[in-house]
Amino acid sequence: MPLIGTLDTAAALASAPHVRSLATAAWELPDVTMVQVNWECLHEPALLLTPPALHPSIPPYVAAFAMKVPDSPVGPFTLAQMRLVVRAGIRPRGYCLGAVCDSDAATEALREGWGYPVRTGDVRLGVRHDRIFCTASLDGAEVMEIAVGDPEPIAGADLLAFDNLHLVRLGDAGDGAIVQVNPEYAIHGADRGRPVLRLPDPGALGMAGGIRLTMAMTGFSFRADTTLPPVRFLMDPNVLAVQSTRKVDPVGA
Amino acid sequence: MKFGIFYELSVPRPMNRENERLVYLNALEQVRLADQLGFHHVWAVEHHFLEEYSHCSAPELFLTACAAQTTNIRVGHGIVVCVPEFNHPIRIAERAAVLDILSGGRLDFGTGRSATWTELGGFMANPDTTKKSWDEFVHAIPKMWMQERYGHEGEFFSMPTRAVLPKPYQDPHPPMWVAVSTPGTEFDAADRGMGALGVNFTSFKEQERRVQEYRRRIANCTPAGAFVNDQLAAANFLFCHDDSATGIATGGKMIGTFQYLAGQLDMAKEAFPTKGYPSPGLLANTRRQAQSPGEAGQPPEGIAIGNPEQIVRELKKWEACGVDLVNFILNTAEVIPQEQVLESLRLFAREVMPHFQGA
Repeated sequence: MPLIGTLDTAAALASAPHVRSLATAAWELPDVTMVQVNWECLHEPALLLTPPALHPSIPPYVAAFAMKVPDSPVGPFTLAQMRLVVRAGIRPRGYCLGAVCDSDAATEALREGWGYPVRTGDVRLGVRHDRIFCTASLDGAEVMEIAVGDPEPIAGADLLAFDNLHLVRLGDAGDGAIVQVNPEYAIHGADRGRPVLRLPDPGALGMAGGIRLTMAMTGFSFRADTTLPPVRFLMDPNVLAVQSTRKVDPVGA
Repeated sequence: MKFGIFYELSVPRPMNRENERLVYLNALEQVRLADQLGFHHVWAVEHHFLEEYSHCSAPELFLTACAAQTTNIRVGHGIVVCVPEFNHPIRIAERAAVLDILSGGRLDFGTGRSATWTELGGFMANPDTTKKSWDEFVHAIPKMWMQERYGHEGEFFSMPTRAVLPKPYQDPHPPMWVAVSTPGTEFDAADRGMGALGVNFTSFKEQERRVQEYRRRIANCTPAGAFVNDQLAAANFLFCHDDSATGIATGGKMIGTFQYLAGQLDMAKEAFPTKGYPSPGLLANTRRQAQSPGEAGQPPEGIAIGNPEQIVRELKKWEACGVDLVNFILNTAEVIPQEQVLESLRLFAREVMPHFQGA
C-alpha cells in the first residue's frame, strides 16, 4: 500500500473555505493565459501537507499555477495557486494549498462555489517575449514568483493539466470534505521554458511548516478557452479517495 | 505461441531488508520451476526509484542468478535503458555479453528508454531526447559485439577505437527487442528489425492491426543488428486455479494491486510536457486496460486468470492475433502466497500449455 498523507485535517479545516452548496453555475472563461512551474520538493514536509485521503506522488512535487482571466461572470481577475501534486487513488491531482486573487468578487465566488483556499491580494501575470511571469503578494508582501524563461512553442497536446482538489467545510453543518474541481481547456497555444519559482513566505500559501524545494522540473504556459464546471466529485479527507470518492448529484447539490 | 514470465520485482511496505530479500528469493524459485515446466523466457525490467512497484534496478544481476540456476529458459533484458545518464552503451554491451556467456547463449536483449519522471528526473535525463539516444545506442551496440574493434562519434556518446570485450556467446549477437509502451514504438521496432516486446495491453482489434502493420514493415526493414528478430510479445497476468472463482478473485487482486502501485508513479508526460512521450506510457496503458470491468464475475478480456479452460480461451485470442510470445506477471507485492504462485505455474503447464504449438 502506498504511503498516505499525514495532514491534521481537523486543524486545517478551521481555516478552510466554507462551501454551503455545490450547486454552482459553470463559468465560461474565454482566452485565459495560464502559466505553471513544476518543482520537486522534499518528501517529509510534503507528506505533512497531504490529507490522509491522498497519496504523495513519487517523487513529491509542487505545481505552482497562475491564470489571467480577461472576462468572467464577476469580471476580469488573476489567480495564483500553490498546488501539491498528489494521487487520489491512481489519479494525479493538484491539491491546492493556498491561492491569491486580485479581485474581491472572484475571491468570494471561487471560495464559496469551488472551495479554492484563496485570499485577495495583488497578482500580476505578464507575457513578454523573453519570459512569462506571475507575482503574487498578500498584505503588501510578496509570497510567490513564478516564471517561464525563454519560452519555445510546444503542442497543446503535449500538456496534461491536473484537476484541483480543495479541502473545504461543506454544507450548513460544515463537515470536512475534499472537492474536486475539473477545469476544461480548449488550448490555443502553448510554450515551454526555463522554470523559476520563489516562495518568500510559504506559510502564507498554506505551507505552514514550510516546503523544501529541491529540483526544478519544467515551466510552461498555455492559452485556452476555459470552462469551470460545478464540483462533480467529493471525498472524505480522512478516508482513502479510492474508498470515499463519490459523484455529486447535480440535482441534490 | 510460447510463454514467458516477466518480473518487476515489486516489494510491499514495509520495505525492510527481509522483504526485499524474500521477493528476490521467491522470484528465483519461480524461475527454477518455470524452467522445469518448459517456459521459454524470463524477463526482468530495469527500473529505478519506483517505490513498491519495482525494485528491479540491477536486472543483469538478477538474470545472471536466473541463468545460473536454470538450464533451458532464456533470460531477457526487459529492458536495458538506453539513455546515457542511466547506462553507458559500452557498459551495456559488456554486461550483456557476459550474461550471454554465463547463460550459455540464452540472452534476449531488450532495449528501451524509461517512461517515468521518477526515473528520468532521478538521473537528470532529458525526456525530449530519449528516443534519439535509444536509436543511437541500438545501432552502436551490435557493432561493439561484432567488430573486433569499434569507435564511435555521435550525439550521445563518442569513443575512440577499442576492442569491446568480451563478445557475446551467441554469434553474431543475441536477439534484439524494443519495449513497446507508447503507440507507434512497435513500428520503430519493425523498421530496425527488432522484436516488439509489448508491455501494455490493448484491444484485440487494435492488436491485430498493429501486428499486421509490424509484419508489413519488418519485411522491408534495415536491421540495427546483423539479423532480423521478427517476434511479437505481449504482456499479461497469470493466475491459474482449478476453481474459476478463486482464480479470478486471486488474479484480480494481483491486477488491482499492480495497477494501484503503478498509478502512484509520476509518468514523464504528467510532469514534463514533451512530444517525446505522446501518451502517459506503459503503466497508464496497463492500468487502463486492467480496469476494464468486463462482465460481472469475469476477468477482463484477454487476461490469463481463472481456470485452465478460461485461460486457454483467452490466450487463443492472442494467438489468433499473431502474437508469438506471451509474458506473464505472476505476482505483485507478494499479494499471492508463494505456494499458490507455484501451483498456478504447475497447473498452467499441465492444462494450458499443451493447447499451444511451440509452448
